[in-house]
Amino acid sequence: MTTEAATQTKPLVEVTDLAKLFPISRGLFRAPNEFVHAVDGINFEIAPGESLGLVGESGCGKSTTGRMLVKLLNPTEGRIQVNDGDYQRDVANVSRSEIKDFRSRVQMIFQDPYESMNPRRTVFDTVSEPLAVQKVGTVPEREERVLELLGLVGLAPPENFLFRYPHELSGGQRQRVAIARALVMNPRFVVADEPTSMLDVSIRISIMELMTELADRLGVSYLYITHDLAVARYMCDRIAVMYLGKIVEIGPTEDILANPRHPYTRALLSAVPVPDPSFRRTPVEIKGGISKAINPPPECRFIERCPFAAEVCRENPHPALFDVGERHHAACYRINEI
Amino acid sequence: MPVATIPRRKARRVRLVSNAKFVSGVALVIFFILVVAAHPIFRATIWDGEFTVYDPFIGYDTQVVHPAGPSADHWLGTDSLGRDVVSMFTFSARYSVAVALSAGLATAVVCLVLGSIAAYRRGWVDSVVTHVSDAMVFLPALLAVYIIGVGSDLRAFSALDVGITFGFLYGLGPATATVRAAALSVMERPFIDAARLAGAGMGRTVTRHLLPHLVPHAAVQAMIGVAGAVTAEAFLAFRSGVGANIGFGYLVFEGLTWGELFAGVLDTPWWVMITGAAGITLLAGAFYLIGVGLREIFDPHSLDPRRVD
Amino acid sequence: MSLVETSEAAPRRARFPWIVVFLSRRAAWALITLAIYLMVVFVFIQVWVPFNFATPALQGGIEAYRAALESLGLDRPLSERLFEFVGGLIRGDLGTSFTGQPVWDLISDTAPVTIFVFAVGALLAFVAGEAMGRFGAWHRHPVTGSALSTIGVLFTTIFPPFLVFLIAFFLRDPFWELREAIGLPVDSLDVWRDAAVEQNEVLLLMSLAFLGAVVAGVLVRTWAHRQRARWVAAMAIPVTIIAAAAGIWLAGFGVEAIDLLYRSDISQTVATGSPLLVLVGVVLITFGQVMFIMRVGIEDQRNEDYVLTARAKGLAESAVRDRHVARNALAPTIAGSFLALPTVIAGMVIIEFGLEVRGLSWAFFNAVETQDIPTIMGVLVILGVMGILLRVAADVAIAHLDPRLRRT
Repeated sequence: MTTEAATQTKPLVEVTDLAKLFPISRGLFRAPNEFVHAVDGINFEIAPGESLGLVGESGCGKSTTGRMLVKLLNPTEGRIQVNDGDYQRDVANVSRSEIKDFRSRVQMIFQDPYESMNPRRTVFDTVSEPLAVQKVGTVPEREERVLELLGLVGLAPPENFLFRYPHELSGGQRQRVAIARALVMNPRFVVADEPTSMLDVSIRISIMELMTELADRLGVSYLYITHDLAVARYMCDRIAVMYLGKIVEIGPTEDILANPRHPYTRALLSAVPVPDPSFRRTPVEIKGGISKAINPPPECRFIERCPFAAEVCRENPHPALFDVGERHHAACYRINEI
Repeated sequence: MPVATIPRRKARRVRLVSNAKFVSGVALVIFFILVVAAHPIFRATIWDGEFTVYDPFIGYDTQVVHPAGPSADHWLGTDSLGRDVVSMFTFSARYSVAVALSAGLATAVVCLVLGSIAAYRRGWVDSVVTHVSDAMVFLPALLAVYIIGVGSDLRAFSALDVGITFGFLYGLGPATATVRAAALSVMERPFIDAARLAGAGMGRTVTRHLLPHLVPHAAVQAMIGVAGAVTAEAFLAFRSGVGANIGFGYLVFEGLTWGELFAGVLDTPWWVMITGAAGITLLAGAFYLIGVGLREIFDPHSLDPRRVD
Repeated sequence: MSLVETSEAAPRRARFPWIVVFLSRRAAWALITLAIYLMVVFVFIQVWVPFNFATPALQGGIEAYRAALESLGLDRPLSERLFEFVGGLIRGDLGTSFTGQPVWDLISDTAPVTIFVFAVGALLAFVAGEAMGRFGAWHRHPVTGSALSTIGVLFTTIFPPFLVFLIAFFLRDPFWELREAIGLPVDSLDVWRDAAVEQNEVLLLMSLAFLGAVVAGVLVRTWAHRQRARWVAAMAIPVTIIAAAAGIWLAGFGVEAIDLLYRSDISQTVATGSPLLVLVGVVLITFGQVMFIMRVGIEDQRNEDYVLTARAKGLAESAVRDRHVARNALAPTIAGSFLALPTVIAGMVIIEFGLEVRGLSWAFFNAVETQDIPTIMGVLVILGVMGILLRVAADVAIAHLDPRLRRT
């Protein structure tokens, strides 16, 4: 699913040591001494035209990561470098005068199709808002552009949808409008935060197909956030698995699915139902429920639940990402043994 | 290709019309507007004459002993100076309604501006606004307006002045607290993030995304403020007596002075007092009904302490 | 996957009951808010109002205007006046009235009645309004619903002097007759001539006893609910109030206390108003607002799923209504009712003055008529303090009802 832009050697998005800590206030005058480590030092790259899936349970930090990438949140530490031809910026350093330029290059699709559109504005108002803010074109020109996009996202005939209100649309239609809005300024990079998880299962696939097709056609890269491995498999070239603020495994999709090396990834995969009654496998048991990343201890984040936890895991800090294959990494001390 | 479906959801507008409080409040307001309009019409028609007996200022019917009770000629009687009460009522309605409208506007503007800016900016701006509005709750606007009014030359202190002053003071207090809480909830909704992603700054986000959702809450507060303003103006007039503009409060003053209040004496021209009191109560009540009705439909969560922050 | 859900260690048991931390936070809030309120009052009286007080004098020319300002003490520089104000407050000194009396004396003389009426009245109004809101909203009976709403609106928006008139006209004579029937002497002076205590002391005692009884009753009730002693819980508050009343009687202040409620003075040297009548007025103007807010809360909660669950479990309607829905609607009702406080205070002040009860309103209106700035400020300060204390109490009540709010 790569385009000719892949010949450019610089990755479109480069995330280095990204971290976000939220303070838990203790008292009226005391400085907070407890922090939630929502995102705790993650690294990844996204090549132009590529889509990366960010997979994990609720609370692992994937949404927070996404919001930092689009500058809805400011990182506590780390760098997010966006390289788009002549445009090379660290997202955290984008100044107020540059923000509109940034927003024309990096966009987001939200999870909730019902709440991500202002219920009192029409489809035209919503989709053309980026154009209006950036003062692009005259009103008739904007109408043309919006119609073009509505057609592109599969809402036909587009004229019928132009002045509808959100409550007059179904969930799938709203999400298409959200996609249209994200694409109206021709961004290079779109963060999609679980765009199908609130939709009926039957229409998820059509939305995902739409997004894939648009990625091909327009050369857009995605960071696709999801908790559903099946969706990640469909949509993404590469997958990064997150747990409690850390990336525990990252690599090409097929590679990870065929050959998961981190215990957590394995457990996730073993839980995915396979529609073949004769298929047998030994489930990977992980204990307990997810814990909160408040002032986490230095050793491996997964140690409480890992079925393979050993002395080496207890005595050392959280493991770095080790090479386990072609562009495939996993953060575990015992990858060669298990 | 997907076909547009229209989910069935009862529009808020339908619920408005079916809410008894809202409808009766609106009906009463319309009634008062008609009363205001009636005066010049009556003056031009039924009460016609060069030196008319029905002049609200100097009318005097030589045929009757004043104050006179209700009769065929004077449906609500006359006061001790010989003025026809119906005429005075229709005339004074104008003043009271002017107070009501200006107070409502002032309250709405204050609480919308402060509430939305506080919720959008958060940080120290929000702190300041919250603390100030918390403090203003303890200074009743009626008493404040009373203090201002007593020293003033009331004829110079017009309906607009009273209304705006009251609306401003009331708006700073409970109204801003409520609207700010509602604004905070709106700011949590994803479409605000989406607007930010489109590049919208404070101006656009507040005017196009935040304010439209706050209007119902502000309307509730404005209506309640109006009810208070009508009462405040009337009380001011009632206490100031002769110096006041002719509003409903003046009528009550006419009918009953402070001293007679406690005596509960009925020798006084009670029909004058009742007319004035009824006017005040009904006008204030009309707006209060609208406010409470609106709140039942739009505002259920505005009072919930859990919804804030 | 494992069948057992484990979790991290249970939170540490706090060393103190939550109320300690909570109250200290609210105390900090109260101080800040009080400071801001005092600044507002100062700016209002010393900066805004003088333009109005002295402007009529302008007609006599600039000299007359300046003289007016001087007599009002408003010609001195603002900073000087501010220092004096703040310094005085820290010392607990509210300044000296233009009549020569210290403001504090004036206020301590007149405040107890107002505090008593306010405390008892607000509570009674809340209880009545909450009950009416609860019953009215739950059963959706069209006639009672509309009737209650109409009465509620009527009394909330009634012109206060007119309400005073109605109360005086309809209730005063029956009250006096009742007083005779109880056996109190016709003239209050007879009661107080030989009394060992001051009227204000008894009033404060009554206020504290009432409030203490309510708090104790609520605590007993909470405890009783936990022990599943339903009847004890239901009777808790009435019993504590009766106990408090009995306590006052046994302490020997019974006759004085009852007299204070009624008041009657033929010789007219004491204010003739009856605090009990003012209480009636306060309850009337307040209950409607509480009722409407409670109604909104109930309507909001009744569609929640837990109502369905409660019914499915077989609970009687009244139990669903009272033990579940009303309880959840109670916290927002307290919070919302509080926003109606300014209207209640204003109405109370007018009614009290109209019924010729010598309370804070008397000090207030006299001060405004005579442009006695220190006293006006003093009264506003005291009203603010009363209001803030009430707010803290309301917050405690809300946090008691909704444990989620105990952390704020």
